[in-house]
Amino acid sequence: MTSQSSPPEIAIPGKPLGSISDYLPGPGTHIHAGHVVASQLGHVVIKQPRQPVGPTKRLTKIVPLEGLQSAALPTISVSRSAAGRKQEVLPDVGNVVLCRVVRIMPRQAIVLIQQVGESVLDTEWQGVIRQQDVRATEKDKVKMYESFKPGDLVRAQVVSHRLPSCVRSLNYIRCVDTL
Amino acid sequence: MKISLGDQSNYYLSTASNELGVIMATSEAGNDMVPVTWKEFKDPVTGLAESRKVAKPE
Repeated sequence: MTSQSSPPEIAIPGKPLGSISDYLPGPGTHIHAGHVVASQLGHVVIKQPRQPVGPTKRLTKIVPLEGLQSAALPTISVSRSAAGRKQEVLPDVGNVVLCRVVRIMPRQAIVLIQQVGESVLDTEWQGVIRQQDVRATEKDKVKMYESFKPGDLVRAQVVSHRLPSCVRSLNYIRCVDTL
Repeated sequence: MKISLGDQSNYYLSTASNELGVIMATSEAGNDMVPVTWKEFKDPVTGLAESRKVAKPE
């Protein structure tokens, strides 16, 4: 593994980006043999450590011991999308999603959608599994508390959605799909 | 600009298929469980079974 003066713009998994004495590993990277190495294909982003703005109000603060030395290092990370042009995938009707059960109610379960197909979402959208949508047969005999428990990881299919129109009109989220 | 999306119950999901349902579950005792039937997970440590809508393993 050769050390290089400046990290590349685009990295492929396994690409060494720099020594751990120069960078802190950020999202999309890991440490291997003294180097920060890319874990995924994407754009290399280097973030300088945040400088304290203005006078510090608090006289005392808690700093992790190992952080004392490394606090001044820039963080290097690999992101799928180019900086500033973030694209968010939205679940759409028919998509198979992975979600985490957060609440069980007598007639429905509330879940947080965490992954659509293969892509992990930045925002956790809330979803509802109604009693009649749990299974295909004997729908009326379904008991929610015998089907899910909070904390369960569930694979489910999106049957419908009701996105507020403000989300679309304000361009708050760039939609990849047909929405 | 950041706005509230209000009640975020915007997606209706279904598990009405053999392949859909719970794929990972933790028991009352806190252990990871393994699926045993289409409606039961079992804690390998305590041996107790808990009912779930189990997804058929791929």
